[in-house]
Amino acid sequence: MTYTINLDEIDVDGAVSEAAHEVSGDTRLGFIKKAGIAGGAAMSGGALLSVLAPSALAAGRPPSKFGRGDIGILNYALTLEYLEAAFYNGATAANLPLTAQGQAFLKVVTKDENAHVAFLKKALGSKAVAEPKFDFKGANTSAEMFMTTAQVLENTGVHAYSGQAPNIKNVAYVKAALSILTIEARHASVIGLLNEPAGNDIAPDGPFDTPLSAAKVLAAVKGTGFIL
Amino acid sequence: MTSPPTEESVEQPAGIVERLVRDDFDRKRFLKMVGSAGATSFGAFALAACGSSSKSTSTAAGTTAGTATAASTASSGGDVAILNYALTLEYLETAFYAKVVEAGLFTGKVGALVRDFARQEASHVAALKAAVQKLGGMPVAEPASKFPISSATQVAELAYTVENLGAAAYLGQAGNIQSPEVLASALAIHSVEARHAATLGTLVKKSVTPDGAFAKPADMSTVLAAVKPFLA
Repeated sequence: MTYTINLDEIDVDGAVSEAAHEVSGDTRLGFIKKAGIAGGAAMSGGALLSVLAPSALAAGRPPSKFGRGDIGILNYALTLEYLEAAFYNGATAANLPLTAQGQAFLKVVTKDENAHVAFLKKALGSKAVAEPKFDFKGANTSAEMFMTTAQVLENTGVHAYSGQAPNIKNVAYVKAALSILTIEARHASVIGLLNEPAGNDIAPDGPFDTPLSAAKVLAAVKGTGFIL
Repeated sequence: MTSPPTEESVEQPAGIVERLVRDDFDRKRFLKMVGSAGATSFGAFALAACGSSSKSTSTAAGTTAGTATAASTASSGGDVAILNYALTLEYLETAFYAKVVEAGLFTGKVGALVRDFARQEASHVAALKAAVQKLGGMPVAEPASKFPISSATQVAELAYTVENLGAAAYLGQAGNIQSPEVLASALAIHSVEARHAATLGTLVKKSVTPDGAFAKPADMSTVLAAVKPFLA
């Protein structure tokens, strides 16, 4: 279990403090004002979070190295999609001894995650970040590690998109992000069911998926050592 | 097992969305307003229109709409209407799962799974009601519903259809929600609907991602037409 992502493991490094700086530099109140939303509605909207999505207010943006505003969010998403696609491409090449359902899962996710990469690269054009170099340390060349890690990666994708979608300004990108988010959620529930047939991992957060800040997601990814 | 509408649900006042389904003119006007970007007065307008459309009977829903109009700020009205639309769909899902659990068609692991989904949909209802109230609106009433319940396979396939529709319905509203907070809240539910849909896809041996790598949205008019058979 050395290589599973542990989301509680928060490593406060340069990237994290940079992310925190970004949050204070473009406050949510500023964003709400820019979005033209009246103060009253924004306040009651904030209160709403205590009911539905308690941590969404803290869903900090990606650090500035990914780019500014929506570009930064899309590049952050692209980086996570690069990671997933490379992980699955490696697993496909490894010809793992998976169950029939595991094979079916791998086929779907490999196709979908590569499509997400292609979509985001196209949307970003010349502003797209380059693909990082990866070392999955055997996590996609052992059937057991593959199944466990895939579940963590997919749920991380859900947390990441849930955290950033409300930060996106361009409505077209919001729609695209949610369109991808629910695919990640579908993948996550299927691998959850395959790994835990009693069904407890289908929706690990219960009725409401938890959004996570970019800092938390990046710290978890960094903790895996998958990105060189 | 057939499932006639229960006596207590027949007496429920019609919800806004339910009445919009039955009234093409109101529905079209509603959709037009939802689609307009500068819908600052949309909430008050649509809700007032709903309230006045039930002039023959002084229903609780009429009163509801009036109260919501008075309480909502102009800019949160659109979000209130969207949350009430989501609430109506969640009411239907909850009623559906309640009937499925009651019918006892599923046992063992699948039975437990269905009961989990039922509880999660009920949580969505409670949360959306609270969300509407937090925004100063009035939650819509639960619509009277009916669902065909005959066999385990038929029910599982219907559940797959209903959950996929729910996920597409939330996605269809993504660009219409004004407040980032409401969006954050809605999508915390949205992705769980997708999880349910994919799980059911696995159980009924259908695609877990029927739209491919990018989920397709469904607009309000498509969704309302699709749920019409389930309204009693």
